[in-house]
Amino acid sequence: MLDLWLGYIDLWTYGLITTAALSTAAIFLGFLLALPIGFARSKSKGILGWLALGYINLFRGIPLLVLLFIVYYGLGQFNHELRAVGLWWFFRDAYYCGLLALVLNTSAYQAEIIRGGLDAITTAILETIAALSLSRWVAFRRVLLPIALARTLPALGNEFILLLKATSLLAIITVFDLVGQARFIFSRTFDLQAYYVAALHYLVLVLIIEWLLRRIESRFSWVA
Amino acid sequence: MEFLKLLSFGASGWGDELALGLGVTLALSFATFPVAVALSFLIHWAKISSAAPVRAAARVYTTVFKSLPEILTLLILYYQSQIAVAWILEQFSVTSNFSMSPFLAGLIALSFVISAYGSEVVRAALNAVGQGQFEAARSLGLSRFKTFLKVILPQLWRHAIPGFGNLWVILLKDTSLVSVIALSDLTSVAGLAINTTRKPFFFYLVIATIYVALVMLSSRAQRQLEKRASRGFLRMDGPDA
Amino acid sequence: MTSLLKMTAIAVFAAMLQATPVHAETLRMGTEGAYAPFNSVAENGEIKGFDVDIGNAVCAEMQVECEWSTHEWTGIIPALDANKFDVMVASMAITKPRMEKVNFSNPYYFNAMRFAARKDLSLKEATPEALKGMVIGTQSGSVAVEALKQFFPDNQIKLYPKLGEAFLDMENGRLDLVLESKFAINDWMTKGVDCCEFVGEDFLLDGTIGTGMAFRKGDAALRDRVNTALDAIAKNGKYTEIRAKYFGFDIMGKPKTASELYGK
Repeated sequence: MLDLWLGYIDLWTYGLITTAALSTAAIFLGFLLALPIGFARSKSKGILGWLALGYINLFRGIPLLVLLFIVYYGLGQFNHELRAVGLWWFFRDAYYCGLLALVLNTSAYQAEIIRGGLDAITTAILETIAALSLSRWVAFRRVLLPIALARTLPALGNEFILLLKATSLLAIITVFDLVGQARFIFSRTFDLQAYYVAALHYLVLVLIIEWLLRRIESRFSWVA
Repeated sequence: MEFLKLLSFGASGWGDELALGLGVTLALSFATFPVAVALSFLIHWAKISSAAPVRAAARVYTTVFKSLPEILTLLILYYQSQIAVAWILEQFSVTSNFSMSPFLAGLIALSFVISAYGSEVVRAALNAVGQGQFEAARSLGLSRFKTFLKVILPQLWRHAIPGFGNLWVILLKDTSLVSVIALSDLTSVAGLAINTTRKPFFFYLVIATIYVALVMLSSRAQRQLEKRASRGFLRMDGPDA
Repeated sequence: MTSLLKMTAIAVFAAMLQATPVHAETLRMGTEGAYAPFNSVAENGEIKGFDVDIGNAVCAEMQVECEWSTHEWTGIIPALDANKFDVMVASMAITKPRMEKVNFSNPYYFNAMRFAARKDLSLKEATPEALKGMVIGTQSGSVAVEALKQFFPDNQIKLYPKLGEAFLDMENGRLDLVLESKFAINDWMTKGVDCCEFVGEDFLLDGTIGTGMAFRKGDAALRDRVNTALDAIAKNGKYTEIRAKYFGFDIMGKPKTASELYGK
């Protein structure tokens, strides 16, 4: 197994960077997209709330693999229209298409997490802040943010790990992430150990992330 | 009209193939789920076992299957299981032409993955039932098995439905990955249809709609089950329980 | 609910049955099912194509039953090794690296590669200079990958799990060219696709000895039996009859090799 790793170390490194970069980009972009949706879900009882719920149900219901195929091959069918509106540079690229599918998928999950965090801030807390006549900034920094983070961080951490694993599906639309490299090496050597090497990479990555998350969470544990 | 023809049943349309693919997807989900739930209990018990090696093994199991992308687990199990099965059969000196079908490989791989998460659902549900129930049953002189079956399980149900409901939805969607190891599920049938018709957007949209419908049906069924399971508690906890 | 459970039970049982030992007189044939006109899955779910007809003719000659299954291309050799089937009839080119993993039958045709390019590029030839900076796609695990790595190392190469997906990306313009079997490309072009045209000559990867059926290393006896049957259907005219159904010309002629064409 070691020779399969060292023999293709360039490919593995490239795959590792691709996997890490794509999942990191997806978690942050997904968070930005999820913020308004989570807000609408938590605060709006009207049309916005319904739209947010529809968005969440839709993108949590479609398997990521199918979503990838829709974005990549499905929308590719409309390349003339996409060219006309100047978006083809984006949809031409497998990385961007994969990233878009990941972001759509994770934002639906993150919106629900954010809603949970917002719901944790009860009227009682807001009244306490008013009673103490804290300034807006102090209230946000010292009270609201720590409560929301303590409530959402473990779930967001989990979501990041799920996303890291989900990135592996991009191999199917020609992206050379860790699994993409493993499939390439496997197709040349027919050696199953290529998959074991990829598996070890994921194991180490997840263990590192979990360790980091525990450290971060312990800083907020006083709230919970 | 042209699209309707593509979905028609019979020799020229893909309706019947898609229906068969949906059947495979459902069969795989329904066959995997009970296995995954049973495994979840086993893994949970292994995690709280008094024997240290068993505890360690259970922890490795959950760490591995929660860390690996499902697609890797699936690929490794599909191609590697042959060697393992051949070895086991050899120990019983059985010579057979056994071959792991994609269905069976998918069932095993997905139940491993789901049970790694499921063991935590079981743990949380048992905590919610509370230690007091064990002690009460014990003081009544019930055996461990009877305690679990007659006292704990009926109460556990209520607390485990949301967690297992989530896992069911994940399972339903994860079956699409089995298309990668050549099982003719819904997703791979769509791929075949596109090979001939060159209409990827249409066919992927159709199966996406089917998956979304399945997931929404599932959550409706889950709400019904939750309501049913918490019948006795409604008056006590108010309408939200 | 009970009927649902019953259905499930039946489905599981059927899946188990599939896994039980097969009868001695059944030959389990494995193919890809995504490589028209050689092997593909039709609207009625049937596996069809040149490979399948030749395989069935061989079975008939050997007086055994053929039982077909489809497998992912990149994993098809491991699937053969893992005893998922006994004979691979999947238009696999006979190459040295593959011969280390499996036994091959005598070649039953020669599958030449050829470039197809988007028409709007108006390419006249397919030399490394002419294709400078262009994106080329092919199926991962195919001999075209090796040819591209050797003779077009500077081009961006995209690999697809299924050939049909590379064709989709040609149609929507993500790829400039695709390098694959000229027969497979021709089959795709006849499906009402108007984007693309052949460019350059056809060629064979150096060291390729035609296209053959593959067997596990231990199954030399089975290979010999299949070779005998292949000879027989070539002699009694059955082979020509099947070939004429798919191709109006001889497909046993050996094309130029890549190094004859690109001089390396």
